[in-house]
Amino acid sequence: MKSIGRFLTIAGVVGTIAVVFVLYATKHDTRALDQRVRELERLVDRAETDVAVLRAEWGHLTEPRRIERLTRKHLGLAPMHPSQFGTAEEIALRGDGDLAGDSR
Amino acid sequence: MSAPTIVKIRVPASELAQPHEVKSKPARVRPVTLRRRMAIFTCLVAGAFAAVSGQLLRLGLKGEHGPSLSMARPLARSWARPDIVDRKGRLLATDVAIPSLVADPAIIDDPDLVALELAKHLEGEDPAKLAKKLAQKGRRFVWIKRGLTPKKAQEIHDLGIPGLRFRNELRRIYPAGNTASHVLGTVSVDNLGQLGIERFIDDKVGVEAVNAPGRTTKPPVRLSLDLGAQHALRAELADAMKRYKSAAAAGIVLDVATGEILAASSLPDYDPNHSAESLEKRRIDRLVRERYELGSVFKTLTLAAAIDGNYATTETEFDARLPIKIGRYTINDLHPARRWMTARDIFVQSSNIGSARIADHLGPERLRGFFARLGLLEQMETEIGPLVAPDFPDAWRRIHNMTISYGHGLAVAPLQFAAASAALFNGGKRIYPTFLKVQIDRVRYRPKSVLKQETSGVMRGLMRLNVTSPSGTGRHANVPGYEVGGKTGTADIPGKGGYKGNGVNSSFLAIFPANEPRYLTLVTIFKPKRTAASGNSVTAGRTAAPTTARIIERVAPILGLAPRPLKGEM
Repeated sequence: MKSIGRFLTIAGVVGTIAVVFVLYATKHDTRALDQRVRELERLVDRAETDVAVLRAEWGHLTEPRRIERLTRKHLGLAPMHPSQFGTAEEIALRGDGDLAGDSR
Repeated sequence: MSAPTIVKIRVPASELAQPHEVKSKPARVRPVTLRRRMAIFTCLVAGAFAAVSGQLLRLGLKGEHGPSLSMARPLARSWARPDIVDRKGRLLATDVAIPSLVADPAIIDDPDLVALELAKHLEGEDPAKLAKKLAQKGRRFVWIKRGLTPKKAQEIHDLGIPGLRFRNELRRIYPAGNTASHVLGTVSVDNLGQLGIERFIDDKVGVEAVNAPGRTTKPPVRLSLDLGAQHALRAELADAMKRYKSAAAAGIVLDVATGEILAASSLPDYDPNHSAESLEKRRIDRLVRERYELGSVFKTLTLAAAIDGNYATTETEFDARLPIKIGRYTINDLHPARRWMTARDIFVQSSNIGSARIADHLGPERLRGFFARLGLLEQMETEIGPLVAPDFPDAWRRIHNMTISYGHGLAVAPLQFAAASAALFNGGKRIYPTFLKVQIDRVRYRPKSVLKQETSGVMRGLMRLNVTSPSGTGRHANVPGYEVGGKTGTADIPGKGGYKGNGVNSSFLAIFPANEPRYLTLVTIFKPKRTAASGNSVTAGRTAAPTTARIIERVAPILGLAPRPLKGEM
């Protein structure tokens, strides 16, 4: 009876020490992981902010007023006129020679 | 009290349970008391453990409920807002973190010198005022300048002045500038919505309080506007203002089936990036915040009321031989026909006398009832706020009835008129204008019918006739290939002592394609002047109608409508 009790006590002490070590190691790992998570979150935040800035910039650059000004100035283009639309039938087939329809 | 401790270690509890086995040494420890103490102690420890385990178990089972902290509004430093995009997903408004300059006056040694240095880099800042701010020794935090460009911030950072810091703050950015300003609205310095869709987002979508610049998790708010169409409309209105030397113009493009507003512009507008401009009176949104007598475009409604109630057909003749005199009023035409006119001619030649006769034939109750069914007499709501309420005489006597029939005596916000008249062309369904993209559930969508489908067909034909007929007032609105139909409205502006000499507001209501209308436009040019471009005329037929033609020509392809092949017409 006595020796079993002693064995249990010793086993308990050893077990406790082992658990303490495991706990310590886990906690240490957790802290490291936590730090990593924070780091990554910071990077994600920064990336998101950068994306937001870039999207805003893209919005500025593709703003219709700007595009219209630039196309008129550099490409000599103007808004489409209804007469500039054609239909599929008007497209000459290869070898057909002339235009199928009359689109001016 | 070391004795009980020794006992506790050496004697297992099971042995303690038998008091006779305990050695009587030391004699002072009485077994019963010891046992009781041990039991109480054990219970306490066990209880404490049970409490801790219970709590752990409870937290574990409840899952991821972080500590919640409720925060009153004033504590939050800023508000993260969802983006706003157009119907095709193009960005109209977004949050961007930008640096603001703050100072800690307690650390600043020489406020005057620092102020001088800062004023060199901050245009428009008065060094004396800056020095005063920086000299508040009692304070640890003062705003110097909110919203710097990153380049400016770097410049000031490079000065290396101790006591100056930067804070990243959320700033609302509107990449398209003025293009959709009245719809988007404005936000305050703290990024809270004040007007337009921004206000709607605060009230209905929700903004998130943030203590550091962060982005909201909410999906973007998708508007019904099409940025391309919006730009085209605005550009053409701006052109028209120059052409007709007018101080203001407004226009709207509306989907007649869904009520979606594809484009809405009121000029002059403002740049939402500089929201102070929005407060100037002349930059008010004339489509929703102001009401106008729109003139002869109302004849469209009058005629529809008569046809829908079977009180007339397009062939019914009305007496337009003489001006109508009622009391001190005289109703006359610009170019009197001096004959009996069919309802069709009354519409196409826009006869006030004829329109008044039709209204008189209907009577006040019927015309008023028809207007009410269309939603023209109640205050209308949209996401950008309630429209200004329509203004009309409570009594609606015979004379009111006659003048309202051609658009005088009833003032309404142009957007409300456009939305109400859509039912005339879409098969008789009442629609509610919206600035949000709607996903119509074809099965459950059952808009209220407010007039007969046949009436709608007749009205489409009349609108088209008004543009194709050589004498039609709307002939300058024709766009080859798009079958535009429309009605002019040249309204004298009321002023002190009547309608004379205050100029006119010229409007044009149009639908395209007229045989099966998809879109409705309403264009109003406020107080156009006689110019060579308008043939020295201020009438809607020479100002608003050609402007509408230009708008439709540009907007229709953007909205996915190809012109009908033009073989015969070119």
